[in-house]
Amino acid sequence: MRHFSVSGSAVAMVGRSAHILTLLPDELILRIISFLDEETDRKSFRCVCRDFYRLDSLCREHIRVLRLDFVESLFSKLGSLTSLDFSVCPRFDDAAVAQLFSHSSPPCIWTRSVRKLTLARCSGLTLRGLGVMVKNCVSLDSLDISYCYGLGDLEATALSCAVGLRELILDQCLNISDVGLAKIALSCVKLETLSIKWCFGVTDLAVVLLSKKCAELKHLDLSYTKITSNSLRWISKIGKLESLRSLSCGSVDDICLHYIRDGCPSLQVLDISRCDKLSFPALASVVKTHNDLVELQANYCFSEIPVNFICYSNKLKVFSIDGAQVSSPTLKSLGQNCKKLIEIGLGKCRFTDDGIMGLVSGCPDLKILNLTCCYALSDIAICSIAESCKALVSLRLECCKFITEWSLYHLGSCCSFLRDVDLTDCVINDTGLKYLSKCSRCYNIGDNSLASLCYGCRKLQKLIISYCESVTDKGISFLSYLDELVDLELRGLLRFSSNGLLRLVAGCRRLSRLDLKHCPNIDDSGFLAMAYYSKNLQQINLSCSAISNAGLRIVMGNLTCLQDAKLVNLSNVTVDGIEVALRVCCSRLKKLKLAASLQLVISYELINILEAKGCRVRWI
Amino acid sequence: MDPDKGVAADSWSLLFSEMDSDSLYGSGRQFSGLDYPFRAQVSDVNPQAQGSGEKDWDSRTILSNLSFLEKKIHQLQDLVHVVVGRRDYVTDDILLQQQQLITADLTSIIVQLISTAGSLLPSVKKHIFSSERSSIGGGELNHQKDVVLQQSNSVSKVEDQSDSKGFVQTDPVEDHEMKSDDDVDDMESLTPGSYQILQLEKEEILAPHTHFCMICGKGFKRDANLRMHMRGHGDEYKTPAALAKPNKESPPEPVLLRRYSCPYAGCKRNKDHKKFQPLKTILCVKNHYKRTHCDKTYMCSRCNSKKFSVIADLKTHEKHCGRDKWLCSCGTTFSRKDKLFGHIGLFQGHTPVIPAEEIKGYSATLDQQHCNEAANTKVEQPEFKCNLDAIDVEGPADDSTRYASPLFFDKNGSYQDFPPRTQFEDCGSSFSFFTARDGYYAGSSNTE
Repeated sequence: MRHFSVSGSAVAMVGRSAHILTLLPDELILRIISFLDEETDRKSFRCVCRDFYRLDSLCREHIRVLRLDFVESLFSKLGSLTSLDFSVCPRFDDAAVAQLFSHSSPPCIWTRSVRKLTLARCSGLTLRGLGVMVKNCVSLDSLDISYCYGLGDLEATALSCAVGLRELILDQCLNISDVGLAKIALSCVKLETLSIKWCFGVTDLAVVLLSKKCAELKHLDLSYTKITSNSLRWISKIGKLESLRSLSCGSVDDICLHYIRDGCPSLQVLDISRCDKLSFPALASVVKTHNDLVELQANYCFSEIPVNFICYSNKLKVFSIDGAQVSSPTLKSLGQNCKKLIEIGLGKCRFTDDGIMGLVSGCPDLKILNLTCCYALSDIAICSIAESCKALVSLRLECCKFITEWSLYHLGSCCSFLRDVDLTDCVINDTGLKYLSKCSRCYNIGDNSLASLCYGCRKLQKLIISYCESVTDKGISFLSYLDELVDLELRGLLRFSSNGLLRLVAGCRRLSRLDLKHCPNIDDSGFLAMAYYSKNLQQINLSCSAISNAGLRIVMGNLTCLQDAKLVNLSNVTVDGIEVALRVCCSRLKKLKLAASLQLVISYELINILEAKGCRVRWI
Repeated sequence: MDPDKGVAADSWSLLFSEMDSDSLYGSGRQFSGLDYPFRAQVSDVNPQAQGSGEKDWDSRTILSNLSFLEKKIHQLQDLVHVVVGRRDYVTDDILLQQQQLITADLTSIIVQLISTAGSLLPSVKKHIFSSERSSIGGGELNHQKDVVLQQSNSVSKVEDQSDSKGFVQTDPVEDHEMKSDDDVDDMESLTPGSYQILQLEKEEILAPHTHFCMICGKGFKRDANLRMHMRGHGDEYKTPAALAKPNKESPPEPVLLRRYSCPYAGCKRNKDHKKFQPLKTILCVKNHYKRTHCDKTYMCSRCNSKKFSVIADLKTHEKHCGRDKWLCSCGTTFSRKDKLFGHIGLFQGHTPVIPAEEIKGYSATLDQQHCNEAANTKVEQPEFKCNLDAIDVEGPADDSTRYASPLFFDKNGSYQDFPPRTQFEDCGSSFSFFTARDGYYAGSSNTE
């Protein structure tokens, strides 16, 4: 759709009536709009002319708010808004909520249709704001308040008023305890999806109550909680449960697996990674009884998979057993018996070329393959992968030291859908990257030669080239061609200076995460350019850089989307400089990392203000 | 028959009732030298019989005693024949003398007979008792026997100090030694016949003291305390033997398991109940009876609501009173979270409540100064609803500058007004915190 925006704007200059699209009835245009699935294309479309803007507003369902300035009037114009996302809005707190609802003409019409609300990382929100949001969005269906670490039981009480909730994400709401979850479980009985990852305050009591009261539960994520087999006993009785994730739950043991084996009739997804009290026979019995299993994640649970393990399943699509020693015959039988496998994780599994060749020969549909730290793999294995699995999308080969450019050549020529290749710690040279750059959609490559990469992989979004000391300004300036780049990590590039940064930020306007740690040759001119161009920056790491007081103040003041800043060991910045810079941006920041030595020197009042606005300060 | 003999028999019985055995022996010695060997034998028998009642009687001794008595009776018979033969020739004086002699001899025979029989007595009794006991226990209890048992029990308890020559020697159950503090019903599966059921009467259960001083009548809960008390009554109570714990040296004989029945008719712990569950110890009986069938007289001074009939329960409660931080919407408080969750899981519509102090503490941090008059209309709403309403009460005419601060929230709309427990009582409606009607509250408040 890139061409569309160009021609559209050209036509708009000539005259609206001349364009054929303006002659079409609204219904047809709306239908055309419905086929634009990329958000960027929609943006181009609505920038063409007022008519298009009007039509786009009519059918726009999802909006991700970046700034709150004109948001009330915007919302009232969007008739069919159903999904609201405030997760990247830097200062969405109680006051903002109050303002939002006071200025819109009462009663708020636009909130009635909102079904999905994403308030992730809105750590400034407390009981009031959340309560008002929930109360006004009467038909709320799905709510995400993950990483609002300040939320506790009172807020959970407010949430429990949304009785129609079907999906609720509470990841890392650290203060929510059993009481809060119980309130939610008792009133939101229609819950189908619930995630309480990292809710350390939740114990068996609330989970048992939840499984008794919410019979509609389908997806449950209990990772990193303190649940024990007692919870699993009741969870296994939820008839509709399809997905159960209990990553890294220390108390989960074989008894839990026995409960799952005897219950959970519709289980499809099971994730028990990093539960180290499990034995493999218990898991094998679960696999045996649950033929509908689609995804099984058991990373770092077992040290070894017995040779006699045979898994017959024509439904299993995802199978991951990182960290377990697997023999070649086992892998071969897995490939032959599970033909539908799409994703397989074998990180640190210490197998040889034979095993992986046997596996891929049976699974032509494989898309995601994780072979991290499989040291013994050679080019022969990679070539057989490339030839068998043409649809490969992601391949992780970190620390596979015997791989040469020959494998990359095969990958580049056979797997045209490859988007993600991890070659960290692999001995790769420029030729190899050149081969790889033939596949057009590589997103994640960690290595040091960039020119060929940038010509080939124009849609690269994430790039890590940390500690590649041979990279210079020239190499970096190639990156400026990657205008879709979002995430860039440039740590420890000693030959990277202000000029390179200037070229980079001028080209990559989408950049939202930038890591410039240990780049000592960048001076203020580079940072000023960054402050001018990179308006979308959300996360920045300036630790150990040479930025000055003035530079820091301008950077922090100008980057209006900035939420997360790491400012450790800034040798040219004084305490006053840091204070001024933080005062400039204190209402936006959500996360801040500072040197612990500053804790005593920096003004207490400033830290209080930051914390009152929902910012979490970490002292290193 | 000689009428004199009848008189003699009367006087013998009189003699027997008035004389003690020693004087009788003395008189025996007076009349006949044959007494001596007998007496020696008797003195052999008696300590045996008294010292160890449970030991079987010595049949050899009995036999020699009986043959000795037979000889003596023959001698007496010969003597009477001589008296009868010479009757016409003797004077009244001599006759009276002879009569006295015969009387004395007969008396001595009777005494010896009795003492022989008496040496047999305890073992005989014991034998009878054990046969009775084994016949108990088909669940069917002879009430009379029961009472006898119980009396013997209490008697022996009262007479702990005295040298109880065991009639029916049940070993007293010393309640203070029982470790279990309450009548926890652990549902031990005893077959009905395998244990012995005892039932104390109400007065006995409620009696404050179980050990009494023989001299002054003072009561004690523990026999050790009684022994300490007895020291004050004389030196004879200060000997190590008197101070020692009674019955300690004699190992308890293997008896049937004892279980106790509650005297309250109709109680599940009463032996006549269909699903009778026996109580394990006397202390269990006491606690059970007080808790279940007595008034609760001890009231907690802190909460003035909880009452107990066992003082230990009150003390346990006082440890936790006021710290019941787990609240249910129905108003019930719990000291433990798992109990609250068990309660909530059981009843439909009950929810946990966050204690009011927490909410107050929370709102205190927010509601510091700004008070908005516009929200005052809200307070008149009779029903409880979440005070978050207050936020959209802000009329459109209000100045927007106020919103810049998060502290604009009005005082009336704060969580300070979070209801005390009573407002949750009709939890059917209250746990839907924001009712659907409140959903458009902003609108309705503006139309007011």
